Amino acid sequence: MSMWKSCLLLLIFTLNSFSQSNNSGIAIYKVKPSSKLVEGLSKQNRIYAEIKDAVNHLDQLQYNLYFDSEIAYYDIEEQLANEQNPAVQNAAKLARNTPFYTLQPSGEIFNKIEFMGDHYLIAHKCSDYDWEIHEETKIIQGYTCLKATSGIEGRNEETIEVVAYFCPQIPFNYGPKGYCGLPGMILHLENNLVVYEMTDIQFKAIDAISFERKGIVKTRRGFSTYVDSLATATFGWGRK
Amino acid sequence: MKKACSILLLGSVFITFSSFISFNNDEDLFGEEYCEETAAALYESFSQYYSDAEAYRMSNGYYQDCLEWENEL
Repeated sequence: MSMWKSCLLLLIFTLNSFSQSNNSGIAIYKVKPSSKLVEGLSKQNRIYAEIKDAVNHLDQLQYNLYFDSEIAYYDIEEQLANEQNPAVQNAAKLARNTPFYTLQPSGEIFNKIEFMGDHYLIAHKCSDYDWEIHEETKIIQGYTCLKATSGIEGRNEETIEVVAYFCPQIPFNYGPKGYCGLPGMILHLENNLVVYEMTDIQFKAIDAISFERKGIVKTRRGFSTYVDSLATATFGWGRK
Repeated sequence: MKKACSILLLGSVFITFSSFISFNNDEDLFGEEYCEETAAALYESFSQYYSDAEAYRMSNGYYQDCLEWENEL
């Protein structure tokens, strides 16, 4: 093989590896309580002590977002999923402790839940978020991010404002907790309870993310209605 | 006269016994109602912070424990 050919092969190999490593990676998110949660938590609340304790342990949580160009998998750090401390467990419940899968280019999102012995896939789509992009920017870990807001429906049909900062420099349509639908990865997300912020991102080859469409597929509203009906049947919730 | 007394005595025993049973049933009903009401209120509170599934699991856990405590009393 001539010197030229060897150099060309080496160049192709290097470029290929570079593009592959830039097409996948892992983003780490840490969490803290949102100002709305802290301000709205009253001592009159029946579960004040429990929520306060959970809030104080949110900073111990870590979430990983594994991604490539076709799929993302977001979940709590494995060690924390098996944490025995009840306050940390409740903090994880507050910031969510079940995995989210986002599929591209379809934009489908599935939250995998085990409930009463059954497996559920709670489904929605990236296009469900009606994002409004603002001029405000924020620098997160050296990346310039743009602000976007969207209203999502709460459990009592109220509108909850969600604030996201996404980074056009990172052209992946993913984010924490299954949030997506923006022209860049969401590095900061704030809802009425928790703030998720990226603390580290590594572009590298990752193991293939496997996702099986196994389980009972329900919409968020459909699952919520089902759980409410169980609560009514078991202990009369909503009857009085 | 003796017969009348016996009927009166039997009658009062019956009334006392029925009242006792009825009183016990009321107690059970009160306990169950208390557990239901508290669990429903907890479900409402938990679901403001946790997922629906988690809110149900936690309030149902409380409800089952509450019924057990009431049965032990």
